This record gives sequence, C-alpha cells and structure tokens, in this order.
Amino acid sequence: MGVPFFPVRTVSGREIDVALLIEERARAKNLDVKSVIVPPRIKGFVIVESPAHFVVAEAVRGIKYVRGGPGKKISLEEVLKMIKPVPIIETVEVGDIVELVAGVFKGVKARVEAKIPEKNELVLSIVEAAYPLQITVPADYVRPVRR
Amino acid sequence: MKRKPFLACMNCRFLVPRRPEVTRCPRCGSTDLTENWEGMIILIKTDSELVGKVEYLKEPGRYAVEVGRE
Repeated sequence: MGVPFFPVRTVSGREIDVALLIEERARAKNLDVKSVIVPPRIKGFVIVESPAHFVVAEAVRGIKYVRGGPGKKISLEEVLKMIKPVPIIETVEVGDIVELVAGVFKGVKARVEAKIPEKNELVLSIVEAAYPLQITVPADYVRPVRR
Repeated sequence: MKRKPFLACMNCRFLVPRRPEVTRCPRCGSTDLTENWEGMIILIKTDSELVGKVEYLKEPGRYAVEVGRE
C-alpha cells in the first residue's frame, strides 16, 4: 500500500489559493505532505498526498477557504484518471461528427474519415461544404459534438 | 474571470509567477509561456507516488496539469 491521497473540499474557485497555502504550511511546519493536486475542471476540491489522515487535517486546519476536512482516502489510480485525461484521438471514432476549434476551419462541423494515431492526426470531411472536401488536422483541433 | 497568478511553460509545464520581468521558464529556459493552463500539481517531496507515473514531474515545484494554446 502506497501513500494515500485525501480529498479536501474548498470554496469553488479558490482551489489554487488553498493548494498554495497547504504547500506553504507543509514547508513551514515540516509536515509529511508529498504533493498537493488541483484537478483540472473539477471545482471545489484539492487532493493532498500524505501518509496519514491527521497530517492532512493539521495542514488544512483553519484555512479560510476550506469547507470540509480531509475525506476518505482515494487510490492512486483514481488520482491518475483525474490528471491524465485520455487523448482526444481515442475518444472519437470514425464516422463521428466533430467540431473544429482551431485552424482555418474553426467553428465548422466535420465527419471523421480516418484516424492517424502515430501522428496524432485526423482525416476529416467537412459536412457543410458544397463539394467533398477532405482535410487532415491535428487531433487537438477538434471537439466531439454530442448528437 | 480571476487572473491566474502563474504562467505555465509550454515545454516543461513548470508554473512561473506572473511578473513583468519574468519572460523565461527558470527550469528549461523556454520563452514559450502561456496563460492557458488547467489544474495544478505541487510536488513537495520527490518520494511522492506520482513521480514516475506522471512524466513531467521530476523535481519539486509547481506544475500545470494541462497546457494548451488559445
């Protein structure tokens, strides 16, 4: 069993401030906090990595924007899931409709014709074009569209 | 929206305090700093479980989880 991770509830939008305060306090009091994680796009909580629950409780005690003490520990796998999102190229399938969010065709909808995973590129055909138009773009340029 | 207190290095994801005189990443020397980042990992001790699992975490410091262009 490795070092566990404890979630701490914070005021929404103050996650970074709380993380910086925990860091400062951990260094000042020499607490056994190994890392502090602010997960992207998840509001209202930070994750503190420390071998014991009471260490985290000590580190967050009295911080203004903390709303709830350390909760039940979470596993390394779950933390990694939060901070290592699956690449876009794996979330889209051939035939899906995607929207281009960058490049000259920004804002245009297109259908995925093929995937080139080794170059992280997608071959798309523009849906709104009057004639068949195929383009190859980096996978970061697209966003999947819900249908 | 609140202005972020840091800029992220596009190259090594290191977070640099936002100050007018800072134009380079102190870690890798890259000048490619961006405001467009999400999530933060503060690595305090190198015996963290995350070292080795997350490739950009090597030495203590603050890192962005995701960096991207506008």
